[in-house]
Parts: sequence; structure tokens; C-alpha cells
Amino acid sequence: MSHRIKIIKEWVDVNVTAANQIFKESFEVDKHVSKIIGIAFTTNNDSMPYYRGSQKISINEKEIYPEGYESKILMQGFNVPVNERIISLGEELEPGNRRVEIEYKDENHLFVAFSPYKVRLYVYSRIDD
Amino acid sequence: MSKVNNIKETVKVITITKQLQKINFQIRHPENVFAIIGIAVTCDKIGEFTGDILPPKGNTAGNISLSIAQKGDVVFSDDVKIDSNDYADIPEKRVYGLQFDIASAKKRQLYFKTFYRIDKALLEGFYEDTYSPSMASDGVELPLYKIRIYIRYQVSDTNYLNAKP
Repeated sequence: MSHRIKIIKEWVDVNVTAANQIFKESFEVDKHVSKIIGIAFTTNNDSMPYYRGSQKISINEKEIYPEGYESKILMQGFNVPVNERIISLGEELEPGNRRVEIEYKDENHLFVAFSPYKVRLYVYSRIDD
Repeated sequence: MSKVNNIKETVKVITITKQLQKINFQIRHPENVFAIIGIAVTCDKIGEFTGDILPPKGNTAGNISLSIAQKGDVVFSDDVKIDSNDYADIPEKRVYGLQFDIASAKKRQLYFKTFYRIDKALLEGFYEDTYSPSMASDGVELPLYKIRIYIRYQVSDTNYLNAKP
């Protein structure tokens, strides 16, 4: 009997429109998802989250990254091979209530003045046929 | 029934307010964790401006060590580098022509991977600021900075996976 696995990528954008504030966003992964396998974090302005950003990420109401976890640790560039850009969560997670939440915090930094930017959290999930 | 996530992350923030400051601190482990499997340290100190177009990089801000409470076994010890002040992490700022090729490197920061079973509730830490600016004269206030210590725990003693960055 054949068994197919499909990996899907979903995302949520956080628009950071003001300095020194917390922005919360959430979404629900696809209802057919059987496991959540990883995340990725990107932005439209590398300097901003690198210096100014930290976030808390939770999936199914479980804290995956705690408050104060700097964005620069999750950021990655072109020299990371495409198939290594998924940041594994250490194990595949049950989707549970399927809710993925991000609380992104912007903090002042002397080196980088604020201008509005956007960060994007990708969630990679597996669908078993 | 949903499974318990087998990895737990914690962040400890230390604020350095004075030059050559020495700080003793403690990190209390979360309950029900089995082992430390990763440690990372970041520093948000800004490199001293030396008049070049690009800020300096690679200077050491201080030294950090983490040890098991009462036993004194050192779990982690390292020089804490000043942030390169550039996500692109240009390795040699004076070689101007090469910068744009190398600037695409942008690799992800990785954890120091270890495996240390937890039998004490605390980690004892010591941080010493060693940065001595060459340009700053007396009376110049250097900005305070923060050291963040990330510790990754394995929650249970089974299914050990070390796949996070």
C-alpha cells in the first residue's frame, strides 16, 4: 500500500508599525495537517529584527520559543541551503488546536533607527495521505 | 492526545552597566527537565566607532562561564564577541572589493551542542567585562549592553533529538 507525504508551508506576517511595542499575530494551520515539522523566520529588512527584535512563538498553546528570544538567532541567509532553512522543532509536533501564535517585540537599538518593517513566520507541516 | 514537546528553551538576560564589571548570577532550571543539550550566548554591545565607514567587529566584550552549583564543574566557557554590527558579517572590513561577495554568507547562529544531565537545580554563572576601548577618553559614557544566555533543555530522557539550529 502506498503512503504519500506532503509538506506544506503556511505563514503569518507581523507588520511592525511602531517602535518599542509588542505585536501579536496568529493563524491556524491547515485542518489536514498531521504533524508540524518546523518553522522559518524572514523579514523585508534584515537590520531591523536582527538588532531590534525578539519574539515568543507558541504552537497549540505550548511555548516553543520563550519571550525575549532574539530574532537574530532564527534569521538565516542565502548561504544556508534551501533544504536546511527549516528550523526543526526538535521533534514533530501534534497540531492540537492548530493555532500558531507569535508575539513579536520591537526594542530600541542605538545602531538602527526604527522604520516600519515586516517579519514573516513560516510554519512547515506534514500532511499524510 | 497531544505529545509533550521534548525541547524547552530558556533565555537569561544579564545587563552590564559599567566598564570592567564582574557579575555572578544564577540560572534556575525549569522543572522536569532532563539535560542541557545546547547553549548559545549573544551580546548586543555596539562596536566602538573608529572613524571608518563600517563599524569594527570581532572585539571581545567579556568572558562568560557557567558551572554546576556547588560542584564547580564548568559546563560552558567562552569569550563573548561584540556583535559584528552587520548581519552580513563581513569578515574583513578593509578589503572593500570583497565585501559584497562575502556579505551574502549570512549564516544562522548555531548553539554549542552538549549533553549535561541535570542533577542540581541551578547553574552558577560568572561574567566579566573585559572591553577596553581605544578611543574612548575619560568621561565618555559607554552604553550599557545586555548578554543573553540561551539554554536548550531536553525534557524527557527518551526521544533525544538535536535537530534545532
